[in-house]
Amino acid sequence: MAISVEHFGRTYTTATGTVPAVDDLSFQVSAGEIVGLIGPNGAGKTTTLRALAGILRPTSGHVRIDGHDLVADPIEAKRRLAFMPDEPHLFEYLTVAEHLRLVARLYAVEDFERRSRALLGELELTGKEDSLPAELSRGMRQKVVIACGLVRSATTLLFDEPLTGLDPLGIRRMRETITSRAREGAAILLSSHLLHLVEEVCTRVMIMDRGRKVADGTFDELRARAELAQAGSSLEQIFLRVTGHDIPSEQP
Amino acid sequence: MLGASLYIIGCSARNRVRARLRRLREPRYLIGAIVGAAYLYFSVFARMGRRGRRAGPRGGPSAATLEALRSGAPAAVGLALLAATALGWLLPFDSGLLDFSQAEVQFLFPAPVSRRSLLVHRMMRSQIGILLGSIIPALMVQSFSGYARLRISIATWLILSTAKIYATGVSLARTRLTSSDARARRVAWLPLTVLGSACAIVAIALLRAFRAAPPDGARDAIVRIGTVVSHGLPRIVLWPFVALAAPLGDLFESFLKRDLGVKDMGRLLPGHGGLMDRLDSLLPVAPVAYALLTLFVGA
Repeated sequence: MAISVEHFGRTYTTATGTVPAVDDLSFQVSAGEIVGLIGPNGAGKTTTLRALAGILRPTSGHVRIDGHDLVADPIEAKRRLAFMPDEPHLFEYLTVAEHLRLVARLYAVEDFERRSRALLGELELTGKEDSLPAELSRGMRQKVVIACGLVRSATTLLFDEPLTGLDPLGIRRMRETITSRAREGAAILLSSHLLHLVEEVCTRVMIMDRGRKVADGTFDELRARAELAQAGSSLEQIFLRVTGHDIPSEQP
Repeated sequence: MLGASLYIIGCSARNRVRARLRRLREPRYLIGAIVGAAYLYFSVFARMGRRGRRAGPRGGPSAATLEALRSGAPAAVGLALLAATALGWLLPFDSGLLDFSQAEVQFLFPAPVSRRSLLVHRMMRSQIGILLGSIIPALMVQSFSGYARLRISIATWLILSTAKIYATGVSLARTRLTSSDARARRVAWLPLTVLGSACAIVAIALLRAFRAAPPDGARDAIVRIGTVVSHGLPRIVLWPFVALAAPLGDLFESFLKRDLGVKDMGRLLPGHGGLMDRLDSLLPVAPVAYALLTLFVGA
């Protein structure tokens, strides 16, 4: 199993005490699968992705990437994953090409020049190689972050709101990029508020609310669940029902 | 990771300089640069050439007090450093060495690198600021040679780097002291126990020296402190601190020269007479810095 999460929990310490962001979360993602992670704001999606990326340490439970525990064997686990965060924070004084070279150094990427050229073309960044982040739009910075994630052969891809800031053409290209990586055998976990994107590209969906998993399955499985059968056929209707935010239609 | 770290630092520095130079095409930045350069020249570099002008003695300490300082100063400074080191555990402060930028978090935290490598990277990045900070005192003090300025720069850099490593180590150890992991707590207690023992050894030795007879003035106190901490167990305990304090001799010397109008200071501080002695004094700082790094970061 490419991603294996068992009883994962993460708490934050604040001035008023300990706040649980994610509680007892367990799921798995296989190679070639695209799992959509959705939930309202504060559901714990970004915390989960950041913990899977090795940025946050789990307070409890285990996270394994291709069988390597992220806490016990972090180097091997991290070698296999790529994280594309929602906010494109780049090094202020590194150019686009230097960001990609940095990734190549960190991950010892083979055939870097060819991969880099192809990826810059795929993401419409050709001609921007020598630009600094301040000279790029937000959408372009987002593409640089995605290029840095895809320039190496990671078996596990984590996307946090990958379409934020992209133009319509960029969104279409990104959808194609995500599905093509899954066809090549990558396990993909994708968090997004754009439910139509999730419905279109994901093979399975996981809904989180207040730090807990409240639904997990393929669209057909979710639609077939007894309590969701009457919610409607779209992911949006299912999502609103599961999270308790659906508004009952007014009776005349 | 070392290569990646150097790559980030090197490329960022080069691109930053390029961006600053490109900005000079705009008149407001060009005027600002000219004014800044003129200020730097007249306030620092122009003063360097005024070799002949020396102030006369302004009174200052007597020959006897100087004699006392000569014998007791290095040990006393070492003792003061030990006290400052101990205070570091009690006072709340942050070295800033554990503050990573958003880009570093985004690119380096998910990368296959160890926590130790991340800290080394952060430490290397902080070196740019420390290096600049080290050059300033060397430019400001009145000195007779470029070598002296270089020595002061190196000394300040070593001391600031060591202080930064130590402050980070204290921050890490403090966090570990409250950890739920028993092994982490034990590891964190190690430096605290070592430091506590060192303080106790020196305190007992000083107490014995002063309990027998109260000191006869400040000079006697300095001499007695110098005698106590230069012998036996306190000497061994204080060695790292004295080694760390030794490079400060140049700065101290520079201030005394300025104040007393003394030109030949070669014999003022025993063991700190010539150029080679001063350079030698820098060498012990390196193992002290390395020991701190291993003790805290490597744990």
